Amino acid sequence: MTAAWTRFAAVLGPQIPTDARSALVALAHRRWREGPRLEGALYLSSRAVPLWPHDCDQPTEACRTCAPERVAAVERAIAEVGGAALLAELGDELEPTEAPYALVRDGVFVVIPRAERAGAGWTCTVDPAADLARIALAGFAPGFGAGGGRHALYALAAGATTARIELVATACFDPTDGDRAAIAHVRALAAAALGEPGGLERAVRLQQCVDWSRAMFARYPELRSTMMCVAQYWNDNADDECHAESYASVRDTPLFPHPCTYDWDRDEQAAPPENGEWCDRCSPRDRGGFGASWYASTEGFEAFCVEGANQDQEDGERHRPFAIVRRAGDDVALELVGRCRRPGFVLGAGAAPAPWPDARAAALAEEVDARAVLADHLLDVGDPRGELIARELAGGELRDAATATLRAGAIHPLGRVLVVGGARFARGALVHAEVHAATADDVAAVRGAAAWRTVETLRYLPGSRALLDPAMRALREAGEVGVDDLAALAALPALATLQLAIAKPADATRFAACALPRLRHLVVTGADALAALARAPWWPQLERVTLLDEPYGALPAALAEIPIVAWALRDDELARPTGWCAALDRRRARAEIALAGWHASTTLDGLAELVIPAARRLAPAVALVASPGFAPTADDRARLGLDT
Amino acid sequence: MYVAMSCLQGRPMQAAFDELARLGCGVQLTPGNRPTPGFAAHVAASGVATRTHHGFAPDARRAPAVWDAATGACVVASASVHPPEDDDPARATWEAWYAAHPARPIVETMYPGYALGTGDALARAMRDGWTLAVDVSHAFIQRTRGAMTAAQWAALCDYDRIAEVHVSANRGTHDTHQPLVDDTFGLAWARARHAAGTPLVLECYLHHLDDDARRRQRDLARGSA
Repeated sequence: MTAAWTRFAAVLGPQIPTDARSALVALAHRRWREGPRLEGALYLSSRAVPLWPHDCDQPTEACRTCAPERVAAVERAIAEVGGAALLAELGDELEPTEAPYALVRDGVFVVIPRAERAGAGWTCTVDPAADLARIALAGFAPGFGAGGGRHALYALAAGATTARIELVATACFDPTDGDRAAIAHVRALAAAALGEPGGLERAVRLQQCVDWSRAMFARYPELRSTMMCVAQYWNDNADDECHAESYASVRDTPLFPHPCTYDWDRDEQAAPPENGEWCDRCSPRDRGGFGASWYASTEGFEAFCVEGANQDQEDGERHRPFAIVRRAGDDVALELVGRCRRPGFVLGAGAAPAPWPDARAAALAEEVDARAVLADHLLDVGDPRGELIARELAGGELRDAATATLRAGAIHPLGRVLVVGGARFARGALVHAEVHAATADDVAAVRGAAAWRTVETLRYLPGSRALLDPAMRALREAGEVGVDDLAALAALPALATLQLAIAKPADATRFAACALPRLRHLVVTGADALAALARAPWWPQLERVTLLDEPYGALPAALAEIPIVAWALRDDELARPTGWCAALDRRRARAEIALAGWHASTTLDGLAELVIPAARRLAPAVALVASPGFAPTADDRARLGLDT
Repeated sequence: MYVAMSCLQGRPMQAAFDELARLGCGVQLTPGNRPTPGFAAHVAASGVATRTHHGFAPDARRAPAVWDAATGACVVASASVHPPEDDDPARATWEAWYAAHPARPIVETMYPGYALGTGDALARAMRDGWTLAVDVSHAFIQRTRGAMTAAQWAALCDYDRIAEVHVSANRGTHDTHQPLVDDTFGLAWARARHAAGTPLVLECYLHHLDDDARRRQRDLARGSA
């Protein structure tokens, strides 16, 4: 041990909190133009060895950013001993970027062997006989982008095809139960992606988002939710394409667009924002940083981004929500809310499932209401799918490799037209499908598929070829449907909600001639086609018409007899309703406003300035009602002058 | 005249190429599109005139590197390239490599944060006789940020070794590749250069424009609107 280093340890040692199980002293030999300088930082941990690279989102770890009240300033110790003296002794051993130099336990400073300091990141060794992958950290690599980071660990774990993963303790890594739980969760997320393009990348980022959300909830008890949003825009090198923004909120769902209250005049935000909505700029920093450590990779997220966005747009224009993490007791719950906005991102055909064991199982599998009977029958005949379906019926959302296998079988061969993130399941069956068929071959490949029989809602991405199929006998809602689907429409008697694509006036006449015996809710863009549609035999049975991209509150004469009339915007990339939705009741006495979908205009200011005044012109009573994505508070209603 | 693949950046290569080729111009092959199998053969069979730019690769979203970090050498075969960003390891070495290699690519005028991102840097490049691709939207950012004087812009406009002119619009803050309007900075000069025989490359985002609007962009760029 050298003299300066000994003095440095003597100065710093007493400043390290005694409740920290271990600490890392990380040093860098910076070679600035003005001359060499020693820089360093201290990292505390409740593990035997702190994580390296440090991760502010891990509850076991603390640094001067995420726990400023706990972490001593190494700079002061360097200054007291003398940076030049330390550099003279240690300089040749140090890297130009920050790297662990010494491990501290029980007040004892142990210099880390050079081989461990220069070591690579994670390694994964597969034992095929045991169906086990062992993941270990080979050493502390210099720099925060080092391969030992959380992203690399999660990517290895999510990509491992073995049944089991073991995190191996080494001199550089002391795994915890929290690590093992995170590994299990990221593997489940990856499995739930059903092999989607970019699915593994998304799983890794989502797990990092969950970690970050847990850390935020721990630091700030007032927060109840976080939102991960993604955007795609480019620099001219096309090497910086997808971007992430994260928000936090005291609500169960953050407002979107984020109403930033950052004080640009003072260039600081000392106190929590009064509106309870936080971002990287307007969050307080008194209990640690806000910035999420993950980023959005192009491969994982471009399908979910607005196309053609740019840096000059407001956040609400260029970003779209992808995931929400909420408090759920002592745990958190993750909801994926991003939708594929681009054609061309489909799951892929996949492998055909194993055939059902007998004719009775095959028949039951086609009935969405017979899942419990199917599960019992499969259990009786010893088919493992019975247990999976029974578990899903009992416990709701399941994410593991076995469930993924079951689901992959449930969608075959529809993966050819199902867009990424566009398959939703219930009771072990596919019930919601977001689709895009690019070619006639795609259509032919899925025509008449048994997997359609349990689908209850179907959404097209714009530009898709027609896919409606008599096999979709459970279909209750479809959109946006063009005249190419007319023949199939007549064979779908359960259809109750239909969004029409009317490209020319003759289309409306053809839709009006179609038999839709159970249609109750019609969604249509613009008011031009209403007169023709109003001649349809099914028109009198309608309970609701939603008009898209018509001025809020302009009530066309053709809708005079329709019990509920609603207005919303149209998301042109998804061909579905978005923005604030104002619905006028059958007595024209009350207008209810809800969120149809996140949009640049879905601000509380937008409500106050545009939607509520329009609603008040139509009805004496205006109410703000809860909807997925927006739960109004008493404060919202008071601020907007609405009744509770 | 050429239309850059970056006009439909992010789209699958072949679909973007085919849509842009319908405008009746050549296509500049740029990085940032999703690869589609057989793209190189598709381009070759199309008969459409092409130029290659920066990190374009027919089988990947982009080439892994354009400048070698250690030697500063250009490691792609594109006709024109961006010089390195300021934080690129090659930033310190590329100029020496470039000056020493006669068979070198055209380098594009950039904006602050890149080499050739200021009027002073461009003045040195012109003094040394480098062949340039002038991006008028980048020049606008330089002008807006005070990185290029009016005299430096005038000198660039008069420079005789300009091998490509790139056009798109922005607000002077970010390189946002927005559609052209009549008074887009540098557009009149770009048209004049094009009329005198310099290849013109339209590189504004066309994702949300229909065929008519795309044709108007083409015509606006070359001055035939």
